[in-house]
Amino acid sequence: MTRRSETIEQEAHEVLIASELIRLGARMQLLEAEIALSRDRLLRLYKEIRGASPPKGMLPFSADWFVSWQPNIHATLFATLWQPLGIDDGRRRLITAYQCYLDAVDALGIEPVLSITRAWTLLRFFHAEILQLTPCSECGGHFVTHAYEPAKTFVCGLCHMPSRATAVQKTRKHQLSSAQRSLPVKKNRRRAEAVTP
Amino acid sequence: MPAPDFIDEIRELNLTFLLLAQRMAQENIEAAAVKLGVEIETLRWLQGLSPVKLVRIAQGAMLVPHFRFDGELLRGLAGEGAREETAAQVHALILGQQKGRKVRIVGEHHDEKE
Repeated sequence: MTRRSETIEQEAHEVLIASELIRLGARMQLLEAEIALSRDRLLRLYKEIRGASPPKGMLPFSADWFVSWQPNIHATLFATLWQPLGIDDGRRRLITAYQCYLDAVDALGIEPVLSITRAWTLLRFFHAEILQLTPCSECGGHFVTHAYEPAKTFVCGLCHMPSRATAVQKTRKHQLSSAQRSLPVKKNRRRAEAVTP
Repeated sequence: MPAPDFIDEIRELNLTFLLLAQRMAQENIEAAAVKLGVEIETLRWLQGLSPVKLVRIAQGAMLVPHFRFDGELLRGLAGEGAREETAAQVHALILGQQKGRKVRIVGEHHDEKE
């Protein structure tokens, strides 16, 4: 889906949104799908902000990832923060929700597990009805599950914690790699000021 | 000596809360609504309120902000009632955010992207 920005003002608007997404760790696929700028310009913008070429290769596409224990909690937290936002622009909504997620995770003192690209994938999975939010039959909270999960028998990962999953922060397996890893929002803001002269 | 009635403290807390809400709304009103648990319309109205009116709201002897977490959820936030404190906190956070809100289950996410 290639949209063209009509005016310089619109284009500037797209650039701003794109740079916010890049600062939060978005990958090229996300940018190409969401931003009405040519691939070339997006690449240049990416290099300018991150100082390196974007990682190549496909995005992780497994919906199962969102259902595994620790990612599920992070995905659910993100979805919970995303839902009430009434922002028309889907990209802005993603950015705001992701920043809220980073703030929440930061306040809890745990590492973010969900990259912004994963968060975006999650929304696409919702949209495609591959994943859904299902109410837990014990606590009533809505959690990310596969679509058409029978709600009667569903119990969330926090009501029934698997015995291995003791320390939320100590699992290294799902931590973001430095490339996808988004900096905490506040640092980002400072960086943003430093980068744009 | 009269017992303390905490009126000054309550007023101070009210004013701090209102000013914080105004500042947060200025920054990003949508995010502020989520974080504060305040309706966006209320925030919009609050945003344009003069200091005089803010003080007037804060003056009453009653606390203006109210708990969005209560009972079980508060215990969760404190990290009680689970093997793992952080897990209990996240749990309470998720439930508290979803409380009083109609959570859509599936297929209604079409407003995500035009």
